[in-house]
Amino acid sequence: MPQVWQLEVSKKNNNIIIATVGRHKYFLNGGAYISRNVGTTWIKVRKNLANHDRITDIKTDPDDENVFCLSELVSVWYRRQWYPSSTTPSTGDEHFYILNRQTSQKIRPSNDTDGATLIQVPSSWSGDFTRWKTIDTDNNYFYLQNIETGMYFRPEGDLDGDDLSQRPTNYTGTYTQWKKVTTPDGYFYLQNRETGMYFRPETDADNAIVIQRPISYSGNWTQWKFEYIAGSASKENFKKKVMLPITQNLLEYIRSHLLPETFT
Amino acid sequence: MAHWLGIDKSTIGNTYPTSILPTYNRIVINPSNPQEIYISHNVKHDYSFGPYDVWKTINGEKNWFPATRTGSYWSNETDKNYWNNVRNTPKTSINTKFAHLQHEMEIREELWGCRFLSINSNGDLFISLDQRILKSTDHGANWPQIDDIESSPGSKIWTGKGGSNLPGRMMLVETGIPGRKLFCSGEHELWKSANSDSNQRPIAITQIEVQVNPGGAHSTGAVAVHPTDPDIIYTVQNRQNHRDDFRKSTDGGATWNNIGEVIDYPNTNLSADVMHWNSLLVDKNAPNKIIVCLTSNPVSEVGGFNKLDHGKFGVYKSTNGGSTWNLSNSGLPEGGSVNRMALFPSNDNAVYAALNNGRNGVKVGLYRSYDSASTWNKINTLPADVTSINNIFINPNNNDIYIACGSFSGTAAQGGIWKSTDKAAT
Repeated sequence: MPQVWQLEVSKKNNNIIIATVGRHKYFLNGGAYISRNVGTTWIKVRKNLANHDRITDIKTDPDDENVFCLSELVSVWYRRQWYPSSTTPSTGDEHFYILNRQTSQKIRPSNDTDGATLIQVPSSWSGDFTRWKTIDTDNNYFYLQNIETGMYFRPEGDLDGDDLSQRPTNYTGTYTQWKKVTTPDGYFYLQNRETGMYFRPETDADNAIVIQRPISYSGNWTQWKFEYIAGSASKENFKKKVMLPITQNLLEYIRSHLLPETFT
Repeated sequence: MAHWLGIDKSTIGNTYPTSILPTYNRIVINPSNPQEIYISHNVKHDYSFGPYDVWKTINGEKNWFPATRTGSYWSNETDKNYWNNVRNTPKTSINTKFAHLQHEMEIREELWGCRFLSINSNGDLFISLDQRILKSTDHGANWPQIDDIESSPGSKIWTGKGGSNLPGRMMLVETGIPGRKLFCSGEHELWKSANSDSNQRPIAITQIEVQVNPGGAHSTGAVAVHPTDPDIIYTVQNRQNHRDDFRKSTDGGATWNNIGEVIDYPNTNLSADVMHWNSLLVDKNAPNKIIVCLTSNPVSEVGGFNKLDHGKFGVYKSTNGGSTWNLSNSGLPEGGSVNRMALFPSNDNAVYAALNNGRNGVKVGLYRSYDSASTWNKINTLPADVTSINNIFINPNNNDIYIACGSFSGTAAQGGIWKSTDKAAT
């Protein structure tokens, strides 16, 4: 970012920085950038912005760390909600990381095979193995689907301490279904529909396995949040488009999956 | 007319030609009916001839008539006989409908210019009049504005649909009233959030100055709120009406008065001579002390005015609530460009000034004052490469100081974000 025009730190969270970057002789990707980790990594924000690299002012919301607003040179003001931890994501922010409250680290399947265990990885990891989406079932339950492997996960059994492992999407029973149990401060437990238990990383180490625990384990270790990834829904559609085989169902697929995103 | 005849406006007298040809610049044809054609022109910027912005024919160019009718010319039925009997114009009543500009567009002459004209496959038409986007779905019979939606009829509370051409400028998100945010714009001055429902998308806003207050200021450069009385709002303008006036409202923006003039400059060329005011800051412990900077190299703005002497740019300070102002550049380098300033959260006497590269290439850096911007000293603890400081932010939670650096032609090492946790000692 060779020409930064402006930056602000959230009044509610010192880790959050928003910045605007001007056009540069050799760096043409100006615009609004956001960081949740004191500037270690940045994401550019441009979805729905008419003049994404002509931003005259940017401000964090004094009351909500997940909200900021910006002014554009010739298209006035925008309000953007981003990375909501426990609330509805913005349009297009469909994928998220699952972060543990105690360790601040993420979870992912250890590889792409059926039965791979879930492990904890550093929060700086951001590949598709660490990204997830929800698929709603009923009564507030949902599957958690990995973006890289396309699989769900479930506890291996009914016991305290059982591993969590990855399973294909034909595992549609209650073992692969979860629901949020909210806490007062934005984090939540993820409770299994079959066993009624929560889960946690076994330790705070990298590659620690993720195990099932009873709901009496109510501390930070069993609490999680979803960090939504800006614009991720359109990315998924792009991937699907590239990977889509030409079949007789193609038109139906386009109608049901691609058109809404393309035309909104 | 003087423009096209190449003579001075004062000498044109009654020497008018007997016929004119407007400078049309757009033409669209209904895809379903090649006899239905529209042409438009930009009266304001192309020195064209009004009234009307869009012409229409429905018989393949044989007869043309005004498809859009806006403003006093039509509401006063000027030349009604000509349009009805000579031109066989089907209708001469006003057929455009605007959002917050409606009143102003009713009383003005049609001199704003049509910025574009487009048609889609259904024959729906899109135009931009005075930077508003209007759409006709009935072959040009009616043209409602489509980029701003009123919450309820007459409420004057608007939500945008993303098609606005309003210049967006500074936003003040902490205004002493929970949930109230102030939004500055070019040519449409000042707006505020219309309610405190922060989850509403898009946010509803209402204008508090200028089209709602004829004779008011048009283009806010910066806005500030009194630290203990949130009904007191200050603005300074960067162009058009009240440019460089210091204005004050004591009733939350309902009424405004000029209470001072920040810089003594003649009110000439109010449109093109832009003054880039930034960082209007009020001392929270001594509210009569107010500072603002006039930026000579406004990197994040539309370009513009630079006719002032170098010595006129920089920091302006008032010690009497904005009635009188003085340039306060003591210690700042000649030719530097003060782009933004920040008060130190726990001590308003301490002020930081971020200077970006000057217009003539002067490289300067970060300055600090301990006496409310009366005198300045350079901070010499920055990395050697960092000279162009575009902005400064001081985190009120912990007093950490951040600077935004770099320039269009600078190196990567000269750019980026830098942070000091010890009041710029390191």
